[in-house]
Amino acid sequence: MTSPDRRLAVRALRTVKTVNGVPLPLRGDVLDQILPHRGSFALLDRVDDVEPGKWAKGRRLIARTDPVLADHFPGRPIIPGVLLIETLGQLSGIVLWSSPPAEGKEPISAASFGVLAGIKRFRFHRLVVPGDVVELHTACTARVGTISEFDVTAHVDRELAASGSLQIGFRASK
Amino acid sequence: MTATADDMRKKARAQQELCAELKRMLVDRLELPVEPGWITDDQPLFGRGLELDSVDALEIVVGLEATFGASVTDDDREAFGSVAKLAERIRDQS
Repeated sequence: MTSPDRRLAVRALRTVKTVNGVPLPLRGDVLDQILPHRGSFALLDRVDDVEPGKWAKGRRLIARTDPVLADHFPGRPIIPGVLLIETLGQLSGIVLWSSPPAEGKEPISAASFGVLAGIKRFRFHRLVVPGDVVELHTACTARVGTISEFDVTAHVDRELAASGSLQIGFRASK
Repeated sequence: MTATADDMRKKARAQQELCAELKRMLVDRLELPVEPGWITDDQPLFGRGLELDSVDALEIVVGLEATFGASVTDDDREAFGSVAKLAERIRDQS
């Protein structure tokens, strides 16, 4: 028999992966400290894993009480594709936040934030509906100056729901 | 003497072909509303030239890698000056 105390001790000894000193997974209030989105635009529920500056995995839970579903569409609730793009953009923002500063360059300033600069070859392969858990993945494929490109995918039940590329630029916040 | 003139002609032809290929790549990848032949070798790519922006710069870097196997960093601002300058960077790396 293993005592509860011993189980807790073993759990505490496990290595917890961190990114920028923050333990994974990243959730609600931690995400609020990293991303500027609030309210109905705080779309990312959890970030499970991050390879700093390279890729990230996260998820979004589609609650049936999500207010956007009341209007999109009445009686036939479907998550708008643009919100999937925005969610994947926010996950890509986590990759940018995790990036170590390039040699000889200034780190990304806390006073700047990422904005969508381009969307390429986006496809929506299936509908995303209430109750779905959307598994998100983003990988940085190129970076030039303040613009970065990401290949992104969203899966539901291991089935591809959306895929494409996003370009994200960093701007000063004022 | 003749051999040198031939070499120079070959180099000039190779430069022309490389510039033509670069222009096709730019028009295709950036979906520019111009014929590749309308772009001159020395026309500035940014500002008042082709009026490209920073998103286009990223697309050019990705295109150079995919099409020519050449890498240009954003620090190398001179390389983005014109098609001829980009061709120079590709030649330097071949």
